[in-house]
Amino acid sequence: MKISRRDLFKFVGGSAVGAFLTPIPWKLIDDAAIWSQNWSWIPRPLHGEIRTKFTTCTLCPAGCGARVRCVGDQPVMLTGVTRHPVSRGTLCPAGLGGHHLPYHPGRALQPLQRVQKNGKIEFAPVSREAVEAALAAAISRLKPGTPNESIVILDQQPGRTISRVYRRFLESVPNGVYVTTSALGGDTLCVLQEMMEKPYGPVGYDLENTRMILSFGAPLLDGWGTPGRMMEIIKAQGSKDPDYRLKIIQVETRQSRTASFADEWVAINPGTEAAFALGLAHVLIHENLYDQDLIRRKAIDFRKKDGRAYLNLVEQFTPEYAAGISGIAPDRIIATARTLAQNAPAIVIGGGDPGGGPLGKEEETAIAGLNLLLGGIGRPGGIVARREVPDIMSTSHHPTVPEMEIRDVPDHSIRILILDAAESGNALPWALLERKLVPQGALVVSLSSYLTGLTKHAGYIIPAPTYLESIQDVPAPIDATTASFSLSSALLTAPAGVTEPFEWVKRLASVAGVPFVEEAQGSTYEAQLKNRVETIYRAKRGTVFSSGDGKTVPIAEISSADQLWKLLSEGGCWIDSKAETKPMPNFSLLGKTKDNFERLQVAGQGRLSREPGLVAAFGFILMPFGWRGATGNGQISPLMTKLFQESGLRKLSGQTAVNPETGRAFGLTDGGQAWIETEKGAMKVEVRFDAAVMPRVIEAAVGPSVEAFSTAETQGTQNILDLCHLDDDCAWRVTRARVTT
Amino acid sequence: MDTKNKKQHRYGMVIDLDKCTGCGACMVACAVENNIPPATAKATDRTGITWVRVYKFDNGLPFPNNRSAYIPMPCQQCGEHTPCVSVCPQKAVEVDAASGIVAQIPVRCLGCRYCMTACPYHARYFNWWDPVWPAGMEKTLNPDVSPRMRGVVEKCNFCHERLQAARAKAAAEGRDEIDPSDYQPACVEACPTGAITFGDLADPNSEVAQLVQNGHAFRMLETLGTEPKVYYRSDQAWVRQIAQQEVQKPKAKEKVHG
Amino acid sequence: MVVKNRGRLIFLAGVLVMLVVGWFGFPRMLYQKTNQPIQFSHRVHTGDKAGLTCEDCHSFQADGRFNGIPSISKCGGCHVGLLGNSPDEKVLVEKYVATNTEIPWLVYSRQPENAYFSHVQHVRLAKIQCERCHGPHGAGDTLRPYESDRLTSYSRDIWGHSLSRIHSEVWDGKKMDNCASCHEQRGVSNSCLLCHK
Repeated sequence: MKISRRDLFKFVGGSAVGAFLTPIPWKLIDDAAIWSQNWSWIPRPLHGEIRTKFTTCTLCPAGCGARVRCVGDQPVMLTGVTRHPVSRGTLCPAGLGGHHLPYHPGRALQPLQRVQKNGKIEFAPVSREAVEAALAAAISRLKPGTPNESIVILDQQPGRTISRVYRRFLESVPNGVYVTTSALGGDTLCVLQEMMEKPYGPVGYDLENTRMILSFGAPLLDGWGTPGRMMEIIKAQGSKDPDYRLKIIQVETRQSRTASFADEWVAINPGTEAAFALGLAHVLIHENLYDQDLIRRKAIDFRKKDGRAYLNLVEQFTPEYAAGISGIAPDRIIATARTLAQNAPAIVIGGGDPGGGPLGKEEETAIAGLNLLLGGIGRPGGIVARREVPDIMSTSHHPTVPEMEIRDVPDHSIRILILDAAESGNALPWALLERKLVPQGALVVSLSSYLTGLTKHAGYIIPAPTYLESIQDVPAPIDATTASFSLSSALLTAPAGVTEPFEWVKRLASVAGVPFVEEAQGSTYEAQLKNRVETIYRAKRGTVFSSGDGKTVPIAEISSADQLWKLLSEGGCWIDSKAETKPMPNFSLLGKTKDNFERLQVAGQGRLSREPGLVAAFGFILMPFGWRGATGNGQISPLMTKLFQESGLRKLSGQTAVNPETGRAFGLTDGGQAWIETEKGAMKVEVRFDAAVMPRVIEAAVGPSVEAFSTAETQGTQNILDLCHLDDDCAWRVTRARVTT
Repeated sequence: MDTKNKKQHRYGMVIDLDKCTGCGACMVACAVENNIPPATAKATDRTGITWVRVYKFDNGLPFPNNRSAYIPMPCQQCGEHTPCVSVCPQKAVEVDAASGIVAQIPVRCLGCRYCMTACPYHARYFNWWDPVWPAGMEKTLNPDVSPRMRGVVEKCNFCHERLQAARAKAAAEGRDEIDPSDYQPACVEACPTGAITFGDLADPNSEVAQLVQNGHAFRMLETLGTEPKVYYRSDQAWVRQIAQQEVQKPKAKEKVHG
Repeated sequence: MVVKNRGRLIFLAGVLVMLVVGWFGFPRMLYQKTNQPIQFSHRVHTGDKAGLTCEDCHSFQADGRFNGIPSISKCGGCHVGLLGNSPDEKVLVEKYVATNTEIPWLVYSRQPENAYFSHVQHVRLAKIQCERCHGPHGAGDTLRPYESDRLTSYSRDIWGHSLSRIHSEVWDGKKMDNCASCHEQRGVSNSCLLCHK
């Protein structure tokens, strides 16, 4: 039998017809549709038992409670803890994305060394031993008794157990200095304490009972102090009697979120806060609106015979005079002073913007002086005393190593600088640290988990575990009226290449051959923390909040220190009882610095007053600004692209705003590019027109760059802070600038 | 389970603009809950995905009388005349009868973006790229929401998975109706000032229904007749006015692109 | 005569060959069989010997979340040591219970990521028996090999074992149509959001 072509076609035709009677085409069509819905490269969520855990956020010093939703042991969502005594049920946007940080692409996962390669800065792997040897050698070269050859540990979250370890380590080496930075919300309080004749101890703002806040640029509603606390006050505003609502007056050049939200926005000339504060003081004194009894009894320099008294200083700052400097009409200065006096108890807060940087010491002195004039210290609704968190150090040991703020460290004096990884939330320009380092051969080691910010300038990096990867303690936030203490637990295992700072300090001490006295408090960090919890337990003060059931019980009802440890490591929080009112010591309204009278007089003229002609020559005043969540030197969740890149809600690095009229006058275009040029250099930026911006001011964002969400920022990305002029008092708030296209 | 005899709900929210500080917590909480990936380096405010987006508005006055306010814009969950439903060639959008939620089913979507053109609120978002999370971060995805792929449209569904969870809890306890306190979208839960109130508009006793009645509440582009279930309120006249003016101000509208 | 019908016969042969290939060969090509990590007898557990109900192991959490296949700790609750003499039990105890390792079960009825199914609403509120969808699974003595679709990686149970999907058993097939038709019959909503996430 011969098979013809025709037969073959018939057979194929039959098969084709037959195929339609089989599931092949129908099933394949269906499968193809399903196949196209399930690409293999689309990640699939983990599935497993849903568990709820609790911890404490360590991304800034606020110490908010976090409820952690886990699939198995993997955290997948963070939310606030209802009724948490510190955070009152809320988390800020940065905290909400905290569980992404262990996976940030910019993480450093092993010790690194900064190297120059073909003119470019790179970070190459290095052994931990090599870093320790380099440091030990540098330590051995320090000559005891030469304070301009110091070893410094910069701790931006003081009060932690590791802070104590750092201080004790610094006691064992020559010329050790323990350095902190001003914490957001604490600047005015720190200066206030310095103005006291005798130590008054820590203080906090009694915001819940105050009737008015006069804020000098403090981002009260945008992540200031303990954000949840401020937010709760806003929440309650609506239900309050209008006469008893908290009144907020915001004194700030920029229309920040707080300025927009405040009852009044006083748009002050750049860098003239001191003039406005002294103008208010003038009115308060002139109209007898101040606490005359207190001032008579306690103020040592209100009146003095040498003509350098507070009264002499303030006399000059008549409303008209202050108006000429600050740009605020005399009537408004008088009205603001009267409102302050009428709304007692009122609080006056300084601090400034997290990106714009802290106010200078003199400005803060003028602001703290207003609180003293109003008699708000130690009164409900004012600034009240709190106690320290019980600690071995505060009870049995008197530190021999000085603690100072970075701005008070003498220039060119730091030989070895160790940067702790914790964040203050404030920006810190590298130029400020550079000014403090010895000009040649300084050694900088960073313990940051990320290759970003200041760490980019470090010679070595010994990465620490990040949030959720190690157990840490969180002491009371700076603005709180009572002490508190909580723990952040290790919900995830830290990668192999990272080192807990405690372990590293211990190793360093052994390599450098110096005694590690802290060993007595425990040989592991966990043992150290347990030790501290025991100290708190023994003090038998205060109450304990447990996150699981939201209940608060007196510490007397906790059966043992172990039980307290368990509650705290499950996201609980210890809260001290209210401190008794302490008698206020005598105080100085001018501050204790040398030449305080003259310094305040100069500060009162405003930051740009010294060379007024230059403003006209440069044309613009550059004012950086930022949001606490993103101005620091750590990282934020890659999901923050939602706020910075995928919407205009927050500004990326390199984005600026100018007043439309100024912009047009200088030939700029809305949405166009421009160059900002200052004495420090130039940077290309994007310009937006915004009617809220003061004429002649260019507001520039301190924030992440687009690259910061997906890569390590080892180079390239320019920071606006690099362009800012660093004043003698280490403030970088206003800089003269040229803006050209 | 007979949903036909079940109570019909109309979930909605009232956003108090006098309490919104523009912090962005709602946007982050939403992205975490709904497995929305971080942007690729190329993404902009036109191509990014933010189911709820907070816009800044101002009163238009020059310095120093200028004032700003923030307006969170999730899907406005239109009522009867839902523009996106009527144009979808794929039946990938519908109004869920039981909850009143406008449902977008990404697996059914063919990516024509007709609905995005139709939506007057620019509340719909297109996946211009496949979702990519930094290595390891995919472990943090929410198991209750499926990640989408390139080429489909997505939008806010009032965290419907949370409604499902509330229903499951009710069923476990033998109840037919959910406990209203069990169902709060992620943005509502995250808002630190309590600016967003969520609930059932069909229940006259609910807090949202009361807030809608209590004056100073308004909806976006009310004249279009889309009957949104997202309300706003403000005691400040200029804030209320600007939200209504949006339709007449082509420039402002352009700013609100998706 | 032979010559006259030859063309038709060849055509029919083509049809026939394709039918055989389509109905018998194709499923073998399409589905990949994998054996479960260990054998498990539902009958032993549900029968007189242990007397368990479905919900004893496939339990709900207090919030209504369905636990699905129980975790190894549940098995370990009884199987601390050997209770019988089956070789699979020995593996269970030694390999999984002793080391607290989850058994990598292959779930016959696993739905894709974009589908949502609430067991608690079907079981507790609608009072639907497990057998309605899972068939006599709970009475089986062995676990059949898991068959996954090479193209979609779905379990064969989703399409159903009967490739024609005609007159198959009521529990055979867990595609959207199966869900939708039951919802229709019972007058339950077929809203998209009800089952898609």
